Formats: sequence, C-alpha cells, structure tokens
Amino acid sequence: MEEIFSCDLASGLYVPQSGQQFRINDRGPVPRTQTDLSALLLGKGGGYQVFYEAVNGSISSLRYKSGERDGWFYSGLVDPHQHENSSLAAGFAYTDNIHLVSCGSEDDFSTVVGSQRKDKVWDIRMPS
Amino acid sequence: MSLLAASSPRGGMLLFGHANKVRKRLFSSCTASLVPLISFPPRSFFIAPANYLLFGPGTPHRIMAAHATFSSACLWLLFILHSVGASQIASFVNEHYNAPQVIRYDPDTKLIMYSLCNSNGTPVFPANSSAAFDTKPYTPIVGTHISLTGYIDEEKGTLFVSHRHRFGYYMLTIVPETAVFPGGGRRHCGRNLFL
Repeated sequence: MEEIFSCDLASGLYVPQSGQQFRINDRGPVPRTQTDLSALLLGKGGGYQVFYEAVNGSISSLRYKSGERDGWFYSGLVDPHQHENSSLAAGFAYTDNIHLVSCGSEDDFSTVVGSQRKDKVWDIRMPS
Repeated sequence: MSLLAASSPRGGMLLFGHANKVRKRLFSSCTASLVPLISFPPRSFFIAPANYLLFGPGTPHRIMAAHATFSSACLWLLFILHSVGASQIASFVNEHYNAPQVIRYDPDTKLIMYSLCNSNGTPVFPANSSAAFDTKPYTPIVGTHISLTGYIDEEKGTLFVSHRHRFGYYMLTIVPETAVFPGGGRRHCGRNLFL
C-alpha cells in the first residue's frame, strides 16, 4: 500500500492525501511477519528498493520505479541462505553499488555482506 | 541486535545500530571501503566536531543521536538507543534543513511518530500523538519493523511549492495479514508513505 502525505511547512505536520493508493505486486516470496525491513532510495529517478526476509528465510527485494510495471514489482532473490530473525541494513553510495548487511540473532551471530555488481548479480560474502 | 541503514540524497549512507558486537563487525566488514574506520565507546554518543544533535531526555524513551560529516561524499548518522529497538526507529537526513527526519513506532500507543518535517538543524520530536502518521485503517502490527528513506525533489518544489524544495519520505511497515488491499486478497504486505 502506498499513501501520500504532504508536509505542512507551517506546522511541520504531515497531512494525508486521498486517492493515492497503489498495489504492491504480490509475486515473489511472501514476507515473514516479523521480517526486518530496509528501504533504499536509488538516486534521482532510480526509484526505491525494499529488502525483506521471506517465510523461507531467504532475502528478497521489491522495486518501485515510476511508470514501470505498475510501479512496484518483485526484483528477485538476493540471498537464498537462511536469515531467520536477522536484521537487515542496506545502503548505497552510487546507484550501481548497493550494499546489504544481514545479521543473525544475538545467540547465533553471523554477518552476511552483499554487494550488487553492475551486472545486477549479488555478490554474497560471509566475513570471518 | 538491530541494524538500520538509509541512503543520503547526496550519495552517502547512514547506518544505525546499538549492539556493540554489531558495530564492530559491521564497521570492520563493510565500511572500510566507504569511510575511514571509526571507533567509539559503547553506550555513549559520538560527539562530532562539526555538528551535534541530542534528543531527550524529555521523551518517554530516551533517544540520543549524533551525526558527523566525515567527507564530502559520506554523511554518517549514528543513533545510540536506550529502551528503543533500533528496528522501531528509522531516519534519513533532510539536507535542506540539515536535520534528520526521524520516525519511531511506539508499541504502547501503536503510533508511528515523527519529527516535525520543518525541523531546522535539530529535529523536533514531540513523541506524542500530535505528530503521528494517520495509518488507519492499516495500523501496523505490534512489533513491526519500520524503514525509511527519502528525497528532495527540487524540480517539483519549484513547480508546486513556490521557491521551496519538496521533500519526499518513504516509510515501510508490516501491516496485519488480515488487511484487505485493493485488487483483492489478504496477504502480508508493506505500507509505504511518501510525500
């Protein structure tokens, strides 16, 4: 779901706008209810990318790009390995260089770092 | 253990965390190529030479924050959180006002509160229902994780808000699986808010 809020510069409050609801594409793995979320803004005109943990423990992502495939679409599997109850953090310095970090729980600590190459393939590493 | 990250409109990356182990592993594993490695004492806030922010302790859950500019290409914002799960707070830098835009999910009131969008320099965070998103009827589930990023649209700002930039905010939470969405079906889904 998507909803538009405008910033009232006088009061600093957000005012909801009507008639701006969009459907997120339901293709791709179903998100786990308690998944962590990480959203990226992919530069000017690049849209958004959202990372989440699926019910099978893998990490997938959704993309949004204005005017493309009805807005939101499933953009593919990032890492098929288990990430149950992990925390996700993603960021990018340039539009072709996205970094994703996943950390497991306190008891089962592990860190996975992923970087998306220019050919859109994810390079997943597990630092020692 | 929690981590958050968001992008800065100028290409920097913001990271949030409060578990010492995570900090060490995170910084040593993924930031070396982006910014100089930094270190700081646990459970305290980093005092930046150029800029400094502090929330609280006037809020029910004390939140402290500091941010620093380490290079022209990378702006870091570090949150040290007390009594607040890091995945229940999110932020990105509103560079026009030089202030972080902060949102926080309060499990007690089930509200997603925000800092005032016209905050200049230091963010103003009322931490009550006076500054909370109206999320009805898709109120987020208890324990939801939230994420936030945003943009400044100068072109639209010029067009629609005279001589002002237009700020965009994107927030995503998990809503109850029983929520009904346009197009039919009941499923897990995200909620996204932006200006």
